[in-house]
Amino acid sequence: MTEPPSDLELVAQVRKDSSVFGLLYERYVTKIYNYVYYRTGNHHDAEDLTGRVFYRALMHIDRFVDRGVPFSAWLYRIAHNLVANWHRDHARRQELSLEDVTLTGTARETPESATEANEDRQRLLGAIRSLPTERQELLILKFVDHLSNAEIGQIMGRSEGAIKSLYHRTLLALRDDLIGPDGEPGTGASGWVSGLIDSADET
Amino acid sequence: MTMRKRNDMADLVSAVLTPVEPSQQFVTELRRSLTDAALRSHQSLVRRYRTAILIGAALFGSLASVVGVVALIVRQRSRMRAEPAR
Repeated sequence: MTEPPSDLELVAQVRKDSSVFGLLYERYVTKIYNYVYYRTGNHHDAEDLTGRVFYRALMHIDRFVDRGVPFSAWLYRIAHNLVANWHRDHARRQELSLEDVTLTGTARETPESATEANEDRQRLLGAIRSLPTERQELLILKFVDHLSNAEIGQIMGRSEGAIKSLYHRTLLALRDDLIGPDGEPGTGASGWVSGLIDSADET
Repeated sequence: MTMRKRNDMADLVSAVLTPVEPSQQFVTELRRSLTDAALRSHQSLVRRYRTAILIGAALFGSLASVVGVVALIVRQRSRMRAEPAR
């Protein structure tokens, strides 16, 4: 069985025949969509911006030069810039609703525990949203797109070590935000947030 | 923060930031419109090349005519200069 062509091989083919771009599109549409979705908080803007990312990539593919940075990183940079413009243009970051973000409960949860769990998830999402942009980006790339620290480093223009350290500090900040600097839970803490507080008490 | 607590936090974030699937209709429509755009851009590139080739050929033709005329004049003059000497 033959190996699927690499991104670089596909990019070279696109330069001769732009219809090959569809293969790159299929390879990355879901990842870019997820990235944009979690950065904007709603499906409508995620679809709009994902479309723009791929249009821009198609039109400017000649500008992509292989300097050791993968094509995917170039694509994520386009997405990053478009999302940044979107935040600037709409100036709505503060009022951005994450209600659209899927909050899935497990089948075994009772209605009460499901409500509690959803409240906890909302709290955590709120805490993630209040993080600086680069930290949000890191968490999305790591947990939603399942990229390695090295890949995230290439996208964010940092070393693998710097990403590792930023990741550690981000988790720490999130935990402090949820538990509070004095180790006391915020109002309404329940479910697994309380579990996190219990585990914090263990040391 | 100990490794265990960091892993706990990572598990929580992982439970909240779950991947979503774009709608199939969106994916299909965007692919179609990208294919159309790729085709249009290819056609416009071909048109641009064709125009460039036509302009190039016209320029070459004009230049060749000018060079021909100049060569003819030079040849005529040199012949006229040579005739009185005879």
